[in-house]
Amino acid sequence: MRALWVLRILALAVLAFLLAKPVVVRPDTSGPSRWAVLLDSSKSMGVSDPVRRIDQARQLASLILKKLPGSELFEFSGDVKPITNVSSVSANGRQTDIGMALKKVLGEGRFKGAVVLTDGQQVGRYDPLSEAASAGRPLLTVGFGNATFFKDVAVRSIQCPPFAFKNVPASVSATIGVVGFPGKRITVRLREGNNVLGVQTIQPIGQDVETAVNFTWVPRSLGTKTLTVETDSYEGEITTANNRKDALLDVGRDRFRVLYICGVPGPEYSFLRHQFKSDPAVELITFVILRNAMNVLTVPDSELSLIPFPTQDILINQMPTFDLIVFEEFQYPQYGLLPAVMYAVRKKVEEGGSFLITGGRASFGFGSGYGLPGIYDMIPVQFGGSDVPIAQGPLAFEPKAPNHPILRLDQNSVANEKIWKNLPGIEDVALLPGVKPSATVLGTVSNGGRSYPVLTAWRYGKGRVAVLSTRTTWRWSMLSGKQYGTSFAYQQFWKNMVLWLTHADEFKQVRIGLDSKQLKEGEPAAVRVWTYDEYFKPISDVDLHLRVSSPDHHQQELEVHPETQGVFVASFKPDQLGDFELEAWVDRHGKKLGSDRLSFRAVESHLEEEDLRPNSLLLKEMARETGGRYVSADDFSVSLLDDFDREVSGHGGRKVLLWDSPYALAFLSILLAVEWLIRRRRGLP
Amino acid sequence: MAQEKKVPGGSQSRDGGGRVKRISRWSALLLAVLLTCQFPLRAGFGNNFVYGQLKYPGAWDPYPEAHQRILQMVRTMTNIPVSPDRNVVTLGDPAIFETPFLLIKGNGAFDLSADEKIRLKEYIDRGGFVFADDTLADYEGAFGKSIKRLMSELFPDKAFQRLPLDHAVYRSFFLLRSVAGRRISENFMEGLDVGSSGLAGGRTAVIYCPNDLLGAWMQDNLGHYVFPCEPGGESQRWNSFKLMINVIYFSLTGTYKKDAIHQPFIEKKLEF
Repeated sequence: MRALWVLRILALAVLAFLLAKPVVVRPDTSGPSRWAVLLDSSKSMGVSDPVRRIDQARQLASLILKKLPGSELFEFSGDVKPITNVSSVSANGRQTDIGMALKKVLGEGRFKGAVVLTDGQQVGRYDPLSEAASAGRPLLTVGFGNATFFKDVAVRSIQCPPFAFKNVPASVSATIGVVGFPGKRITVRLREGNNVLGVQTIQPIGQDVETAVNFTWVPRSLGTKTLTVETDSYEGEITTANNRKDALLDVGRDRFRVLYICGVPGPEYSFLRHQFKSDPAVELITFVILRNAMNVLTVPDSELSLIPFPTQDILINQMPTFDLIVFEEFQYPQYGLLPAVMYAVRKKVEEGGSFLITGGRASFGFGSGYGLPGIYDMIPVQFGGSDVPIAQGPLAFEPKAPNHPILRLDQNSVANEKIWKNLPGIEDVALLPGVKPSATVLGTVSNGGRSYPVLTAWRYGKGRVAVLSTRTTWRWSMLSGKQYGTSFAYQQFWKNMVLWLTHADEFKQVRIGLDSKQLKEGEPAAVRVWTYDEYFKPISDVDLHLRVSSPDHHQQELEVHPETQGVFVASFKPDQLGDFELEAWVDRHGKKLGSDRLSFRAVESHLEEEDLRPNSLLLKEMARETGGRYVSADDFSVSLLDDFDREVSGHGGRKVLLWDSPYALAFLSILLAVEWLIRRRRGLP
Repeated sequence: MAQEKKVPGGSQSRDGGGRVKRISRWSALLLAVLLTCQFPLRAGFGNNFVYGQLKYPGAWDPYPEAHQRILQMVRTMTNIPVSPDRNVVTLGDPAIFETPFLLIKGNGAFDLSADEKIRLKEYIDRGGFVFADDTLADYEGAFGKSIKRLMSELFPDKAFQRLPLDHAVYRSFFLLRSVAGRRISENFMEGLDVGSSGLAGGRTAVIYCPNDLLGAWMQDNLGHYVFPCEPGGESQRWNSFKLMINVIYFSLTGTYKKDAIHQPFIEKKLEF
């Protein structure tokens, strides 16, 4: 009787259990059953904090491979590849692209999950979190590196403008990361080559601190500069490779140094002096002759503000410093100056300086001091044969090359021509007989049915020379209408004149351009070349050569393709680190049109050694994102691996409802059948 | 352009002379055509210094011959090329822009129309220079007040300032240690600096002299000075000549004498 009750209670219990819908997970033998083991071989794994990360990782990898038979081992840094021998792995990869490794290894669906052995210091293009989520496989992330023992001082980044101006203070700031040196005084220096530009000291108060350090630097010379921010090396530092960082920038002229000598005062001097003085891009040194030998003065010299002509100071000592020399109606022999002064001007122009001569009879008339052999060669117009006639005017200035930078008062060509058409006429124009071959006539006046050059320019040596045969451009300020703004045309004309004569970059006929002065190694970049004719119309009918010189002095010609009118483009992928130089030279109709050079630096896409701190947070996130686990290398154990394997295997099996199981039904049926048989034998109801 | 010129004789007509009249008309037309074709009529003054003077309703010209003596002295003492006669203009005259130097003389209150004020502001904004000289030599007088009120309307964010004795106007040619004029009512001149950038910026564009500077130049037909100079006498007159030359030079050279290259020389001379 007692047995019957036991059977009945047992049957009811089984029924109640089944009604609770318990499930059984059965291993899914149809899916992948193997593990991928990803071993980080980047440089950061070479850090010892205190155990060398890569050594510890190799040991764990061997253990894991033994415990998980059939697992496949991969080594990754900037790329990922399968390996068979753990001991062959060394920490020398230049990236830690965890995301890339997950994408490539797990993307094929061959593995049920991955064990990732890394310090978590992601350096690469792929986002590890999103790639882990996309892979859809559980990750066991094993973190290497111990932040407690980590000590490092690193220049994390430099912030400086890509362009600075000579003699104008520029700001350079850097982010300094200091880990493991709380309270220590850290010295930070800004250098250009061996020249220390500034020193600062910081004293971080925490264990892991980032501090911004600001420097002010005054560039004293032109060209491309490499600035270095560096810190001292400190004992116990995990690496000193990240204690310095470089930045590249171009230093251009902030102000054009202009020497303006005027032989006869008048409104032109008044206006032009004020124009130069008001232009922040111009540093003006000027001298105007206020009297000459024919003037009668009955006062002692002490009552006059006149000073002797500073020949030695200005025309000899300071000559090399001027970007532009302007002589207005300056008959230099009259003041006792020798032609040697003009030969010095010519030399200056030959070496890349610029010279503007304006005026009338004193400049271009018979006996002009500029007509001497050697000096005359520099001037782009013909003059000095006989007394030059002066047209009083007013005469309309007729622009012959409205697109030329000097005459471009408005970027819109229609508007530009309209401005020129509406400008008041000029007066007292020296009617020069002609211009020399290869000179460019930019503007003329018409007088007596004939056209005369009034503004002419050309290249001489490496420099530029212009001739303006009038001294009444001030009328463009006083007499022009208001429609373009007060004195706009006058100011723009003279700004343009200075910029063009001084070879300002925006007025080069051939110009190379890059998006950045620092290109990434292995990544393609577009190189553009702009070409203009002598009137600065964009032109494409040119013979353009573009060459790049590598740091190892290898030269390569780049293939250029026209992009738009006057713009050519070439693609270039730096295949090594270091300083490169681009050089473009352009011929047109068999003559050299111009050339340009541009230097740049190829840098690593991502610098592995910038930050060597272990990043366990990232590894924990990756594990959480995939339903996996994170464990530090120090806490890793075989049992944990087994548990995880089982767990993943379980998660990966087929779920079967016990209610649906025939075995459960059979078991219940047996219980009830036994109970029935016992009652039959005993004759119970 | 209203250039003041004496025209001897003037035009004549002959009564009843129809043919002669026609011939002279044709001749005049032919002459005009020839002149226009071969020799364009001169409208401006080139790069010469032009002594511009404002004509307005009121006592604008108390010393009609002063400019001749001033220009003669400029020609003698300096190398400034000058136009031989003055350019008398009104504010409605476009020719005002032909002369970047403009003298305003007066002895009483004066006012300008709205259009004239706009024109005067344009003149200064484009680079023109104004020298206002008080004929009554009365700093508190109506002329000075009118000039200051006018300029404060034109440049509301600017104000007249006393020009220190090291201002460029006192050093532009002669080294002056004091102000001058027919009667020293104040030991200073005042200036208005306009703008801060651009062509009209950062320059003293208007100078007001309360001491009747031109009065010291006035002579009668026999060459005698008309007015005594008070209180300094003839030395003050001589300084008045020099200051007027300096004002002209200042209009042409601006702050040139304040450039660093001049300073050691000027400071040394001023020590004496």
